[in-house]
Amino acid sequence: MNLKMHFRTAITNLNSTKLRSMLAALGILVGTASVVAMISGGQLASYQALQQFKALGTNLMSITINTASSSDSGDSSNLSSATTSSPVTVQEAINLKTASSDITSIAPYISLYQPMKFQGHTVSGTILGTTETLQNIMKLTMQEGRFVSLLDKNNYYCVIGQKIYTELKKYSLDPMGQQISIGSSIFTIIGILKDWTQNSFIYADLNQSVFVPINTAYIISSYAQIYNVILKLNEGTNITTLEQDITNYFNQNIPGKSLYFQSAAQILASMTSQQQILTAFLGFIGGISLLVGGIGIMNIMLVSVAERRQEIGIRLAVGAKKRDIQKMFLIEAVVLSFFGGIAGVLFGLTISFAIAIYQGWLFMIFYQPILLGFVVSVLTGIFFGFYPAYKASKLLPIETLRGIE
Amino acid sequence: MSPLIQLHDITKTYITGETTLLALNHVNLTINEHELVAIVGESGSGKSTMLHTLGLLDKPTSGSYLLNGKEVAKLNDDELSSLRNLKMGFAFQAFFLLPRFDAIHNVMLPLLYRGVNLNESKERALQILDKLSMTKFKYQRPNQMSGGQQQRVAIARALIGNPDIVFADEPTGALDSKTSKEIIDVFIKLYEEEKKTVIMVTHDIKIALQCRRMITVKDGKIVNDVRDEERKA
Ligand SMILES: Nc1ncnc2c1ncn2[C@@H]1O[C@H](COP(=O)(O)OP(=O)(O)OP(=O)(O)O)[C@@H](O)[C@H]1O
Ligand SMILES: [Mg+2]
Repeated sequence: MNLKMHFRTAITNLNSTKLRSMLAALGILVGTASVVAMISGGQLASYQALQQFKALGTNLMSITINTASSSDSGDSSNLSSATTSSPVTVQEAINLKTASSDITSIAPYISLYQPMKFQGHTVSGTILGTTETLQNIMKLTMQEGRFVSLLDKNNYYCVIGQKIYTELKKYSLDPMGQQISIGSSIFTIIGILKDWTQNSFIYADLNQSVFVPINTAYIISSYAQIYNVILKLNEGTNITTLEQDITNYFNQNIPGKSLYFQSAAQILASMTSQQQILTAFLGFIGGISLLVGGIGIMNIMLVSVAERRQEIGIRLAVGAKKRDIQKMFLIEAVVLSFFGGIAGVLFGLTISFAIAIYQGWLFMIFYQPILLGFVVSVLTGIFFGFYPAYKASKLLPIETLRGIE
Repeated sequence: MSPLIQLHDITKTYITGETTLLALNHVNLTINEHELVAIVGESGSGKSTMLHTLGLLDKPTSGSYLLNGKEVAKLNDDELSSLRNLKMGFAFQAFFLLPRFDAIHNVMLPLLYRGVNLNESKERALQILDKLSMTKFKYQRPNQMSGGQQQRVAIARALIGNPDIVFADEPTGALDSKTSKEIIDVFIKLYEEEKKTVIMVTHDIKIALQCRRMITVKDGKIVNDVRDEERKA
């Protein structure tokens, strides 16, 4: 009997016990669906994370600079050095570039919170004192005008993010060139940024920010201080070495600071590894449900073999070989789990689609979970169908016919 | 030329718990090509056991069985399957049709296991069903047919592979006398027109008398074996 005929036979047999077949396939459906949903959900999440860094690249590092609190208060010299340590100046921050040849550009920034008013209306947002390098590193694109620059010295110019722009538009048709008050000073809007894709590397929402020249920031507030520096690095920079170089540089030139480093590559790596752990864990749960589904298939097939002893006897009597009988039951099990698998893949994709919608992710169909779903469901069928089929093939013609004679 | 079937000192023992039952008790038997044999005897005498042994559905406990001069004890299960498929056809009292398949599919089963393709198998199944006046029922499943119709389908299945020997175990046991006669006529025609060897177990002495040879079994032994010629003499 050829394979095609075996499949037709399997369909006929399964079709004649529809309800039971469907219930048996249900276990596989649930198992496959969870494997597919979990793995494709995990992939969507990783993709989402990757996507954030794709625009900026992963050759970024941020340093948070704090004045070290004196750990040893008994030592007076140490105490005095801590209290006298001055904040990092703009020039010092820019000179940091000499710390390592791996640093290609530097963007120090100052963040401030000051009341802002536009034509008498309160506007909420972060004020960032920056240089033109930030635009370059963060890939900020202008919708109109230009970005602030070191060349602006301490002029009262500012650039607004897209969300601020939308807010200002409520009060004025064209905010460009208009004036906005920050604290007690009046600033002229010289540029508007296009929408910027949120990135977990920088915590501030740049769309909701007002950018002023870094030197002007010192004038707005006496609390203005450079706490953050963003560095752009050469591709493939050794992060550990770089951190050491920078720490050494600070110890020699600007002592008394504690540094906190964060690199995009590390963030991404930890996101990916978390994601992999999650995927593996969820895949494991899916595997357990498949196992349960597989046992369901085995159970149904064992019942089927017991019920169909007469059929086995008839087939043997008219010339079926042992392997024909074995194939018959094995193929039934595989067909059963394959249908469960198809339904499971579809269901799993639907679930991952729902997850994507719920999380606000971009939905995509990856081929690996689909392929895996099919392969795994068919393998489950083969694995759990094997024993019942083997058992059926061991029966002798007369044993199976006698029972009903 | 060697005879079709040669049984030599065949025994079959069933051991159930403490008791041992000799269902075939040192049987010697020769059946030639183109014979019409009836096996008769009381219930439990061992007729079915003998038929199953002859039909390679069961294995004897001891003794030798030569089929076309070849010892079948040496054959493995797959070779026995092939022999049943190529040389033998079966009809049983309970018909033994596959309940989930229609008449055509039941009939063509032996050809499918022989590797004949689906279309040719179907065509030959239709021819044989036609020969048994069963064309009308070709798409019917067993539960949609009467006993006599089911037995005709079973006979069609036994014949489709063009076997040398047709075995029948009380083929009319479940049928009324009119239908029985029709079915028996099919077997007699097989013997007379198609020159097949037909071996049939029956309770019915009238049927047995229609056969050219009658073997009587008692307690697993052949106690009487007469041919037509001898009977008439
Ligand atoms: N699997 C078995 N295990 C134990 N004893 C068996 C088995 N099969 C048959 N027998 C016994 O062997 C003997 C012969 O059985 P068999 O079926 O050949 O009789 P039979 O002549 O066909 O009877 P009937 O006319 O009732 O069909 C019986 O006594 C039966 O009980
Ligand atoms: Mg019997």
